Amino acid sequence: MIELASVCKSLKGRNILQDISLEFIEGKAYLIKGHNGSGKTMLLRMLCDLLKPSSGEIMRNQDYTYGVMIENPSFLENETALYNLKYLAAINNVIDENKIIESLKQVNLYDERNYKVKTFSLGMKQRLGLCQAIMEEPDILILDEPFNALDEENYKMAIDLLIQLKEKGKMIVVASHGFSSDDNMLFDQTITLSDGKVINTAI
Amino acid sequence: MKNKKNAYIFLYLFLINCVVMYHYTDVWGYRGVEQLVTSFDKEANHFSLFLLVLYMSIAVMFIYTIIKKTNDIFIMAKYILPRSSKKKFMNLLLHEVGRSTIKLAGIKLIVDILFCIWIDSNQLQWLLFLFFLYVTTFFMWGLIIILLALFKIDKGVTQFIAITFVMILQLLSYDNKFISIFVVASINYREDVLFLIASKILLLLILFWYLRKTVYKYEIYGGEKV
Repeated sequence: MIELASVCKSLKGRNILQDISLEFIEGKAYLIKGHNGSGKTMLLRMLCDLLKPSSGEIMRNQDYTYGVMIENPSFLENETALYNLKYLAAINNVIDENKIIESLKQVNLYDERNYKVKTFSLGMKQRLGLCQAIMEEPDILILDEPFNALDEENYKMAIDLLIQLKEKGKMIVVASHGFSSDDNMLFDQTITLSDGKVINTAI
Repeated sequence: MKNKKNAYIFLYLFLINCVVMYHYTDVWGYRGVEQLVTSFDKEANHFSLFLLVLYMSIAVMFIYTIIKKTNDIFIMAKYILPRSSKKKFMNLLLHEVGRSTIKLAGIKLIVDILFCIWIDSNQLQWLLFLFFLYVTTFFMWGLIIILLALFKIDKGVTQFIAITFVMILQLLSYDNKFISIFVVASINYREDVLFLIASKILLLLILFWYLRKTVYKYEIYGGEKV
C-alpha cells in the first residue's frame, strides 16, 4: 500500500499540490481525473519518487518496483524500438530478450521492433512507452495519459492488458483529463483533482 | 557500426597528427604530439593559434561524445529512476562518461604511439602520462557536464560553456600552473608531474562528492530540455 498523508508540493513559489491524503492498494486500479494543470502528473511523479513532497509524508509498506509512463513518451530517437527496450532492461537485468519480445507482441509492436523510434507515430510511441512500463512486470504501473493517441483497436488492447495485470495483483494508477471510469471495468476508484486539491474520490 | 565509428575517429586523429608533422617539418615524433596538446610552439616560444585550433577539434570531439552519452541517459531518466535508484542512475552516468573518455583517449594513445615509436621509443612513459592527463581531464569535464544537466541547463548552452572554457583555460594555463589543472597539458607539464597527478585526483574527488550530493537532490519536474 502507498499512503499519502497531507502531502503538499510547491515549485518556484507556486502550490502545485495541496493537502493530498490518499491510499493506493495492490490489485486495484485508480483513475486520476482533472483539467490541465490540476496536478495529476505531479501526483504521479510523487507516487513513483521522481519528486519529493515539500511537506507531508508518503509511506510505502514495502520496496515496490515501478513501471512508469509519464508525459509524452521520449526515447532514443535514432535507435530502434528493440534497442530502447534492451537499454532499459539492462539497468536491472531481470528479464531476457524473449520477455522483451513477448511484451512487444502484447502491445502490437513486434513487427516494428527494428524500426527507428523517430519513424514512429505518437500512438506507436505510446505503445512503446506502455511496453517498457509492463515488460519487467512491476508491482505498480503509473501511466500518464496512456490512451490519448491510441486508435480503437489499440485502446481496447491497452485496456485488456491493464485488466489482466490488475487481476495478477498489480496496482495501476492512470491519469487522464478526458476519460470516464464508466467506459470500462478497469477502474476501482476515480480521484478528481482541481487546482492541486482532491475534490472528489468516487468508488 | 561501432567499429566503423572507431575507425573514423582513428583516421581523424591520425590526420591531425599528420597535419602537425607536415606543418612543422622539423618536428617529428613525440615533439609533434606534445606541441599539439599544449598548443605551444616551442621553437618560436609562443602560443600557436594553428595548434590551438587543431587541439580544440580534438577537445570538441571528446566534449560532444560525453554530452551525447549523458544526454541519452537524461532522455531516459524518467524511465530509469523509477525502476532503479539515484545511486544506480549516478553509476550509469559515471560509467558512460568513463567509458567514452577512456575509449577516445585510448585511440589517441594508439595514434600517438604509431607516430612516436620508431623515432622516440624512449618517450612511451610520457605518452602514457599524456593518456592519464587526457582521461582525468575529460572525465573531469564529463562530471561538470553531468552537473550542468542535473541543474537543468540546456544541452546547447552546456556545449558552449564547455568548449569556450576549455579554450580560454588553455590560453590562461601558460601563465598560471593552477589553471593547467583544468586542461590536458600546458607548457610546464613535464616539470609538474606530481602536482598535476595530485591536483587532478583531488579535483575529481571534490566533483564526485558534489555530484553525489546533487544527484540525490535531483527531481524530474517535467518539460526538461534534453
